[in-house]
Amino acid sequence: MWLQAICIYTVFIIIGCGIPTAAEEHSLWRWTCENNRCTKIRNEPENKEPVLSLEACKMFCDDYGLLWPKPTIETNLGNFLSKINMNTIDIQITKQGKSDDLLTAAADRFKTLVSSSVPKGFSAKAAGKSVTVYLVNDNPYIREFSLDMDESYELYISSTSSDKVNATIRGNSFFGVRHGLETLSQLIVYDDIRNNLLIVRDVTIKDRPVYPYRGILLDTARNFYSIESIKRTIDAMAAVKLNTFHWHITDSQSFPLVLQKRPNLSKLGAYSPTKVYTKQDIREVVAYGLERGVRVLPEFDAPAHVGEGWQDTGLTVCFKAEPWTKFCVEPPCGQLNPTKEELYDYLEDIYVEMAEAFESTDMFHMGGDEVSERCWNSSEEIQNFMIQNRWNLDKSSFLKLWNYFQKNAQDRAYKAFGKRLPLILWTSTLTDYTHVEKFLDKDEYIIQVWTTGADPQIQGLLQKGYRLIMSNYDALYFDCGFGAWVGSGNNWCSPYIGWQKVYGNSPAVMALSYRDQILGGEVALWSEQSDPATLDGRLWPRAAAFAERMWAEPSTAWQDAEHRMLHVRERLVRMGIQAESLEPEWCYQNQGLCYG
Amino acid sequence: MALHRLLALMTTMHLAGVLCNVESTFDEITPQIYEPSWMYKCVPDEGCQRSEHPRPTLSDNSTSAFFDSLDVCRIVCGRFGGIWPKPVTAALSSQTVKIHPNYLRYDLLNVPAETRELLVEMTQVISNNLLAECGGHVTEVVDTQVVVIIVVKTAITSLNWNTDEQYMLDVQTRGGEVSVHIEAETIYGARHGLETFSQLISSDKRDFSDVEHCGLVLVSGAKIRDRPIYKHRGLVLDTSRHFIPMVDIKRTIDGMATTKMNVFHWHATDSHSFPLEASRVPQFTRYGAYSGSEMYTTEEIRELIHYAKVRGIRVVIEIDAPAHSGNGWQWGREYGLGDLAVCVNAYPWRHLCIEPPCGQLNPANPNMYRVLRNLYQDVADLLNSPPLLHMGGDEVYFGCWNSSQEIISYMKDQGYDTTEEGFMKLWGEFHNKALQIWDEEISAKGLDPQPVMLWSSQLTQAQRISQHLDKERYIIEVWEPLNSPLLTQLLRLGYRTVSVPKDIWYLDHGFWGRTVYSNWRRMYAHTLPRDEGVLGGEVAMWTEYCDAQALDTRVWPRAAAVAERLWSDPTSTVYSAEPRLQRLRTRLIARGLRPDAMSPAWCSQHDSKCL
Repeated sequence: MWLQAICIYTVFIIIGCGIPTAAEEHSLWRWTCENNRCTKIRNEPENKEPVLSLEACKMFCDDYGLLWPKPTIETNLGNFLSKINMNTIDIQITKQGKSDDLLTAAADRFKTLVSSSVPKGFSAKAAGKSVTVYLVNDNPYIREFSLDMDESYELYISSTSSDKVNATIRGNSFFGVRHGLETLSQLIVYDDIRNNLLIVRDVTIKDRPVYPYRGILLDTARNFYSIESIKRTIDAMAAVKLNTFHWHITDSQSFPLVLQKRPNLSKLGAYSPTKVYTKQDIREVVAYGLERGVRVLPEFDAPAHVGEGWQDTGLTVCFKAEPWTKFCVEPPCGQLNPTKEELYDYLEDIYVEMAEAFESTDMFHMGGDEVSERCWNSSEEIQNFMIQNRWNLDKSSFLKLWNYFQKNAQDRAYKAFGKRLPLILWTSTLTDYTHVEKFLDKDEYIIQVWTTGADPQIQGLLQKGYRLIMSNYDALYFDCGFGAWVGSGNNWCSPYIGWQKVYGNSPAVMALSYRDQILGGEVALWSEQSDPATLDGRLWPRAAAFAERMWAEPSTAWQDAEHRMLHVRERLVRMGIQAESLEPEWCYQNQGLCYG
Repeated sequence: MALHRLLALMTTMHLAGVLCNVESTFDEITPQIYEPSWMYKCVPDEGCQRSEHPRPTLSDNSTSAFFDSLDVCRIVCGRFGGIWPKPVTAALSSQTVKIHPNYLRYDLLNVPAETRELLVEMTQVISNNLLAECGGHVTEVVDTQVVVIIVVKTAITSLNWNTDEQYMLDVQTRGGEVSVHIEAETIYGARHGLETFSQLISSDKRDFSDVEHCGLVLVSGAKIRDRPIYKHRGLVLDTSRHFIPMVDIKRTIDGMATTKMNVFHWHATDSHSFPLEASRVPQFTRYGAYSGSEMYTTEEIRELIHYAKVRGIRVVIEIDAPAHSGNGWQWGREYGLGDLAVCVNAYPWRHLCIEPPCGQLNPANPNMYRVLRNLYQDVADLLNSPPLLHMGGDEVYFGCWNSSQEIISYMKDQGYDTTEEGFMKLWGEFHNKALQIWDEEISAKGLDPQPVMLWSSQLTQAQRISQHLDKERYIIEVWEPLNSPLLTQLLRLGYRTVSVPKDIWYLDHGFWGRTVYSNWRRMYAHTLPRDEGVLGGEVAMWTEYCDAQALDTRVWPRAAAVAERLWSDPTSTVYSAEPRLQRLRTRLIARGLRPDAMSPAWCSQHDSKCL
């Protein structure tokens, strides 16, 4: 009786203790690890080997088990799985400090994740070992985001007695300990043959990210997203250790941001009065992100990409100008008029309220993409201003005008945030490496690259000492593919980008010897053709492929990650994320047989 | 019995209304920011435009084209309002009248008694859709009586290519009363009429208002005459590469009913998995389903078929054979029946099948035909009469059959050599034997032989098809790309066809290999030959890279573009269709689907400004 109990409780991988139980006899299939892949085989009555479920098999059939992103320093998963009782998980926070509330929230999230690892339609037996998780945060007073925050952690699991498993997570900040909890949750799998939760028993993991900035951009102006859908996105980000939600909150099409001092902007500019974000909404998202180690970074795109909302201010030019193809990249057109003094008061008010709403951000994104000279040039007022300044009306003069705008806006941003925080701008004609230093100080500005990964601008900017965030559209624009929404054919950056390409998109390869200047990267979901209905599918699981590239910068290619990738997709679905499918389920069940 | 049900229906509607009335004001929690600052204006030739609120100084006349709600603007703006697919002729009033489901009554006195029960179910679907316009709660109650008089001339309840789907719909408002008159040959025509009626209705939910307020608005007068151009307007869904839960299939059927599609082509099985429960052969799911919870029980299938019928949709079950069969067929030896299929899950797969896992039925094994007969019996038990079976028949790999000694010696015995033509004979023999089995099984049910469907393949090539496949018996579903001459050739040979040009109407394209995504405009712009032999077309959802998570956004609203092509075959431009499609999209959302976005919301608030 005692011997049999051990066999049920412990799935023994190397040497089986094969006494099939009643439950096992019901299973027609089992999986076995051969040549580093799990093979689906018939569970014959005369079988003497341990009967493994697919997930249990996968956990030991790959050096990184089912972990995503894979740890970077050390991964040792041992050889044993222990049955655990989900209801007896106890989490101890050992050191006290001002980040305790965050750690408590992370512990709650961990418990939710454990219960969501049970697939729909199943329920885990409430029997097995009890689990105690010790969270050791060596700097419990840190709760601020920064580009040099320490996200490293160590994770140890051991079984101290026949009825107990201990896990210890040690980190140098809340952010690291939190990541450790995510990893721990990935070491718990469901055995759908016996309906048990299993934990990997003898574990040592040491881990830290390669890049400090790992983001997703969401555009909430071309189409509106509910707060609930944004939170769902942050949940999925936390699961794969992404740490920045870049909120492209306004654009020419709509202005959903509610400002107390300038209420007309959203009143006129929102798609509807319910499609707005109040300060309270944003703070809710910011707090939600903080608990999940995700900074919520605001962008106020200017001087282009404005329009709706500004119509009564007299501060824009070429708003809704037709034919739009002459004045902007997509309808409706609109640009701020930099010659108006009042504009900068407006901007300051916007920045002040953004600083209040996005209370924990350590950076500010000022947009700065796709400025059209022709738009500015269509205004007599701007022409006169330029003539008064003894500028011509040529390309370089419009850059001066743009710079005039940027300098003024920069001062107001510093004033509004009360500090000289790092500013981010998109690549543009202003950031061209041949003249960028005339306009933007490399210690003040971070450049976000959205041209292709082969663009010589990347090396040019790096050589001049600029820090970069990579969002090269050929791999990281997740709106690519699909039909065009203006005109016929497919959209401008078609075709659709498969996860394999996302995974292979290595900033290290682009940066060569300047790797230290790469802060990281960001996936962008521009929303001309998506809204909450498509959100999950557009982002996931492709953003998970990106997350492993950013966290680990692996030297291996997607082929080595494929099986873990298929699993992380299943995990996201169980969390309630409507992630796209990558392959037929047959391929998930028959590892290694769907090669090209 | 039927009248009793009707009363029950009216009672439930009434209750729903009463519940809504209770929830009246929520002023405290709505954002306090807004005063009305814009409305929607119906601009001739442009459509609905978000515009400044009209000044009170303007005369009443000029404000009549302004609407609080974009959806309401859409139902009266433009010749066809918010109707999708476009009817043959429509004259719509530019006025609207407020209505409430509590005061909506269906008069079914002029329909044959034997159709009444089904028709009651159809009206229930429509009533639920009206409630859905307001998220289930129509808070604004008006007591305008709406009487929908339905006249159905025949008692036919079977669905096939001869089913008459035409209808006429008249709406008149007099005094405080609206009378709606729907007349059709069959209940399916009447159902389409009801669907169109529901598309004359929108919620008047304003952009700038208390969120809880919602009333229904109906176009006050309409005269619509309508019938489909093509008889076969289908969607094929693959449930083998990925299992698609029943609830998601039903939601897809809801979308099809909204767009008057009439064939749900269920690609139920493939080599990857066999989720279709067969009561005579339990091994199919036991060996072939992805898991015990990823299968369709007989009861669920029956329910789905009825669910579709109530929505005017015929279910065609496809048992793809002899290729695309593997998992689910691999138990023959164990049961002493020999190999029912060959090269199942064989590797390397390149020369044995189009994509892993491989598998083809074993035509040398008589037991295979016995098992197939049992499967066909089960399918015949499930389908409504007259049953339509799709026999698959695509992508047979001779390399697979050639890898089996048993098949090679069988061919020798039959006098087939192992050349291409020899294998063609074997393939043709399979289909004819399978058809004979199907004929026998449905004749055992007292039915005449029925045509069956088959995918185009090497066997259906123009120079070969007549030797193997009888044009009276087989309807060929042509999936060759646009530049292929096959469709024209088959029409010339006198075959009946269903067209699914893969480079235009495959919904999975654009996510793998070198395939290109087809946007709705491209799908819409494609036309089929107007030929007696073209029964219609289908839009295809293969699921290698799609499961229930992405299903809605892959299928909708693009399938709707094909639906209008097949129903109306319009000569008007894609651009003129866009505002109506935007309205359809909000309608699908109200009915619980998750259609993909077509453009920034700004474009839907400014019709024809994003061209």
